[in-house]
Amino acid sequence: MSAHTSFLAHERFRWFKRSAWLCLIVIAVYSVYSPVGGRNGGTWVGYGLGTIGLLMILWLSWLGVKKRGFSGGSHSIRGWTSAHVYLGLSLTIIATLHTGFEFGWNVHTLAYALMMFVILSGGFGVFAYLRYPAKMSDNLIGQSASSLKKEMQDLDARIARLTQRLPDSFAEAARMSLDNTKIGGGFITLLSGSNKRCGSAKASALASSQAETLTDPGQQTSATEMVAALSRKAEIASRLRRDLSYKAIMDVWLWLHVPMTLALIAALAAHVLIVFFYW
Amino acid sequence: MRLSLITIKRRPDSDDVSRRETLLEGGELRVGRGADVDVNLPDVDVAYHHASLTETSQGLTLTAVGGSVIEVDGASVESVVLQPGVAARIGMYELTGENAPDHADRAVALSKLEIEDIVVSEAPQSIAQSLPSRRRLSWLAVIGVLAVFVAWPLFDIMQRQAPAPDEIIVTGMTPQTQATLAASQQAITTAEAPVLPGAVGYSPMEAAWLSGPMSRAHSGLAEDCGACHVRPFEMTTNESCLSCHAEVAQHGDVADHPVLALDNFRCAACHKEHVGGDAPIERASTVCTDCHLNLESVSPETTLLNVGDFGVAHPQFRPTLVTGVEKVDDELVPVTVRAPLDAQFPLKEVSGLKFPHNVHLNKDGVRGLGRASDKTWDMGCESCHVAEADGSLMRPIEMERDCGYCHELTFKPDNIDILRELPHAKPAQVAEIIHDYYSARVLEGGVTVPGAPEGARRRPGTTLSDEDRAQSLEWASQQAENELKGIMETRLCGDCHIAEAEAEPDARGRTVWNVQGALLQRHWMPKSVFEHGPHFAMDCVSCHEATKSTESSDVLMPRIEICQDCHLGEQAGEASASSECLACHGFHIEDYGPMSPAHGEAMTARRTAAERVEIKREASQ
Repeated sequence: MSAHTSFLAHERFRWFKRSAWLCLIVIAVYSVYSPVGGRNGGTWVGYGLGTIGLLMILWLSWLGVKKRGFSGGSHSIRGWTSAHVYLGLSLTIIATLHTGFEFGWNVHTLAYALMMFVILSGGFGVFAYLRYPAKMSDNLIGQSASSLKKEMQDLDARIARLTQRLPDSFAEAARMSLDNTKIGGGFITLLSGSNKRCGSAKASALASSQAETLTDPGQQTSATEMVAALSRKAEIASRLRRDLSYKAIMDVWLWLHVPMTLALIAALAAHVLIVFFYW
Repeated sequence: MRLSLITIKRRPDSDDVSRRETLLEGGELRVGRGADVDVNLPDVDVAYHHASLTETSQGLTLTAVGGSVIEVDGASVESVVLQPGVAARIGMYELTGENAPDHADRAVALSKLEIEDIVVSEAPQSIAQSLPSRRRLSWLAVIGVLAVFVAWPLFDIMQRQAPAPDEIIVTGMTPQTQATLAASQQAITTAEAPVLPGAVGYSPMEAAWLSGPMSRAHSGLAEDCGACHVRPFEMTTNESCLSCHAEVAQHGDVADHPVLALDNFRCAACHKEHVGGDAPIERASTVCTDCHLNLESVSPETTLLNVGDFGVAHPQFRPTLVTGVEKVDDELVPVTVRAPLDAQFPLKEVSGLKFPHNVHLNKDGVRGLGRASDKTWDMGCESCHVAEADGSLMRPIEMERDCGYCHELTFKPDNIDILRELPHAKPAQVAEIIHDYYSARVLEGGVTVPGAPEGARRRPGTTLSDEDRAQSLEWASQQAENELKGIMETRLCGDCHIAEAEAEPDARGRTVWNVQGALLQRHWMPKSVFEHGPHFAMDCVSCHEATKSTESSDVLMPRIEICQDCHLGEQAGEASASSECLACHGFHIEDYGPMSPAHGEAMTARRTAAERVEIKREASQ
């Protein structure tokens, strides 16, 4: 972490400070202003907070799109992300004060709830982006996934070679390892990164038990090598699965964050339309 | 057999093919995974000794060993003759028969199938491959929200008809359809049963549009948005409010002060709905002080004093006092003025009543009169003053009920035991009763009063000459006049009232007495509403200092400072008793008629029609 600063600390917490100031100003205005009929979204401060909130939501959504396309220049991805996160968090205060703490079973509160949900899922995204990259590099022990895959292929070749000197039950184990060492899969499999059905692990166990029945010293040596290769393969598979699982966790919140953002924009449009439709 | 084994290798990324020939010799050549077999196929799918190559009469034959599988054209076979061009597959390898070269008996080509030749289905490496696309989900969410929360209710709302902006509707509720409008029109004009239209075309999804809870007063309108929100993108109009509240009163006299028509004000400026509560009434004083803090800015000719917060900027109370009476159309009416209370210059009122509060509130007790003269009475304020049933004002004082027990109006001449009850507030009748008494006494005879004439003193039952009769009646009239003067000026009436004899006697020569009725002020501060009920825990004298008041002319209304002890003003917040304008004042003042005369009249007409229908119904039942 020496040369690298987190996006949260970008430019010495520039966006944290800006957002904090924004929140403080908004809270101060809200506290001072005490309109006839009580504080709510229909007062001038209410309209003001609503407008700020709406513009921020649109801008942050646009940032979310934009920061994927940006790199380098004065607008770094890190800067955009920092702004996106801190301004997004400040929306919890701005929008809550806009409501004047009036909630109900209606489209207006729906928009608020969607916004909070989007922010919450974004919060999980921040958590994931802070936590998992380090875990991922720890998991791959400084290697890349593709080099591990290459190693797996080499191991496969080696296992195949070793079976040439070993009885068919070892070929069975090798086949099991080849066929059932799946990396990846469906949604749940990817997220869980489970090794329960790993063919290589089973094959390793099978080969290990078969090795005890061998009598030929040459075959015994080959069997020992094969067991080692299979267990190494199982370990690599496990790491690759965990790697995919981390990637999945870092991705999965986007399936809530993005569609809910669009739902929020729709609900927000409905909210504004309705408020002025039934003025 | 000499077998030429040609190993074929394709170079990656090129069509170049290398053929390497190996010569094998033997009767049976073993094919398999094993390292020590003749044709080594390093593939885990291949058995250690998978098959054997032998020369038979048909040619080079590949035979499976121990149940191993050989595939030819996709079918499993146990043996196959590898004629030139015939290919057999074992695991990932293919053995194809070829024409034998000169230096060998048979030839077979061995090639390894390329990876792409084998169908490999890799498991998804990212959740994006198994989840629906975010773009599609986003579209679904957007369309879902807009369809359910906008399109659905909007479709229903668009079916509704809005009334014309200047249309006067007093039946309330949803903008009417042609049918309901005609029905209510008919109701007004022909006294047929009026139809109160319900919510027309209400969409259940409009409930999701409510920006906040309805007040309890308007909870019935929660499913009738169109009752107030008549036209899209238009603020709720006063006409919507007036359609139900047609007779709501003006704020003041619009004829004298046109500014009070409040033409540019919306009802909703003070009546804010969708914030819950009992009724949509804004109680904060700012809605009043917006104008009343500096009334000249709105109405330069005003004589009203400026008002701010009750605790600091409310003018001294200015009670309306009776200062005298004047005769208007033979009626005595009170003359009133409004004057501020002042500690140094106490206000005086002229009610025509003689009433010392201090005597009646004497802490040692009050000596009884008449039938009550047997003891000393402890009197308090509540002995005479009782709050009205609604707890607001004190009920008016009535002489017979509140004073009459002690202040009996009895006429009891010296030598007669029988009392005569005199009527209150009817001096002419009192005079008749007294005169009748003395006339009857002298005509009866047997009067023993010294100085009585002969006719009056005669023995009862004896006849009376015309001369004595005239003389006796003259004397009786004189006695009655004397008695009346005492009653009127000092004893009964004169106890509490001022009585004056008119200069000229009446046709019968009798004095005409005028007793000034008490002009008791019932409401010293008619522009405010005071409720005694909530102040029950306080002593009366803490506001009304009556124990030291010796004259009825004392005005015992409290000055504002006394109220301000508890009503500290709105800026004092929770510490203060209610201090907003509406705590004491109303905005709509009944005396000045409806805010919209057109609506008021329409409602009256409508009600009359409805009443006529009720009467008609009752008659027909």
